[in-house]
Amino acid sequence: MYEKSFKYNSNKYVGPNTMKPYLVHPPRQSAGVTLIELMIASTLGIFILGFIFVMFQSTQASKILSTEILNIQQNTNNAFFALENGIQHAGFESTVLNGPSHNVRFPATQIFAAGQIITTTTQGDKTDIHLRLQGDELASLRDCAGQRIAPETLTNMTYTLNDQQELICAIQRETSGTTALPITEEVILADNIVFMKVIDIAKDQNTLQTQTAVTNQANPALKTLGMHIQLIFKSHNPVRYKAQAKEINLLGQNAFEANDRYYYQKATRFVAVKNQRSAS
Amino acid sequence: MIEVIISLLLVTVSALGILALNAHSTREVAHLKFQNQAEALGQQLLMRASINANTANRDVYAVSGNTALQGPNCMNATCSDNEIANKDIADWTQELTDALPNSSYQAQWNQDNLIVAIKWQGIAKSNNTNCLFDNLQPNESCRTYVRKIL
Repeated sequence: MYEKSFKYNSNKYVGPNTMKPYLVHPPRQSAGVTLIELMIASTLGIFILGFIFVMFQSTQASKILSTEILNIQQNTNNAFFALENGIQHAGFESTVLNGPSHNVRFPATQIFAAGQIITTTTQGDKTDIHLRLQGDELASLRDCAGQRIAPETLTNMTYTLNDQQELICAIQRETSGTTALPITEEVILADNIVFMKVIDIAKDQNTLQTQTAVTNQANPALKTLGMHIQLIFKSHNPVRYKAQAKEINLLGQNAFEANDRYYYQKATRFVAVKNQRSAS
Repeated sequence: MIEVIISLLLVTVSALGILALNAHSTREVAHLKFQNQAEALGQQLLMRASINANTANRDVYAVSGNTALQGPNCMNATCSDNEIANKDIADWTQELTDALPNSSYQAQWNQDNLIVAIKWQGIAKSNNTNCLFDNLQPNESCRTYVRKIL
């Protein structure tokens, strides 16, 4: 019937370029895919997905490591900025005419000998740094919490690692006398520090001999000239998929060892003590 | 078939590009880390010398090499200025060789100024122009530090 109708209609054709009805050229049949083609495509797809996954994992691990390294750098800068600032100001004293002697300005206490301005105490894997200074006449000097120190006011600062692996600075203020006042303020300077050891270098004013790792805290003749500070920082997050043994060499003691998924980095500074004075 | 090959080629090129980007980022972070460590180490030797160096022991601080040197053990003991200078150098070279890959050091006096140069294997940056080392390779970084000591 269609053919008849077509024949009838085809009589009206006038040239070869005229569009022909679709029944003359039916649409091509879809070829489809064979099982082999499907399997090859699937295998290639799986390989590509696997490769992308591995690459993603690698990029992610690299990103985490980079972030942690940068965090540690920032933490290192924070910690040493505070420590250097404190140590270099240790022993600063107000200069008033006919004022008392250095030993009177910095009297003997439980921690310090008379005239001593900086000392250390070591326990296990950590050293505490104790230092003291006076406020200047303009009260422009600041303690580790950023507070101005009033003129003539003696301020003790202790840098220590607490149990939360934070480097903190504890501040004690006293206006006169030798009685240690309670800690008035504690400031966190940096975190994730697992090790802090200080090797101090001091010169005996009597013998002119130099000592390192000074343990005699109460010898007023020993003037600490510099401190070698070793810190080990730990990443906030794990950076590896499985635990890895790590050994970090340290000066003056056994290497630091760890076996976990975290990243550790040692940072050291040598800081000079600038305000040592003779007793008078 | 040609479509498949082109797709595979594109995927491979993109994957290699991402890998290269990743490697470059890792190298840059490592370079930053080593640069910070070199900075701290360079200043450290200058600070040590500023405390202990004098006209008698100044030559001890003028060292060059690429290995950790040995020094006296002054821990909990008294030492002369000369021994402390040797210990300074021993401690410093030990820390330097631990911290930086394939590192070399060179320290020399220019009148009363101590000049310390440190080089290590890493990405070469533009700051290499004033380096004390003559034979600096393209893959080596160098930093120089100067301070008046005496």
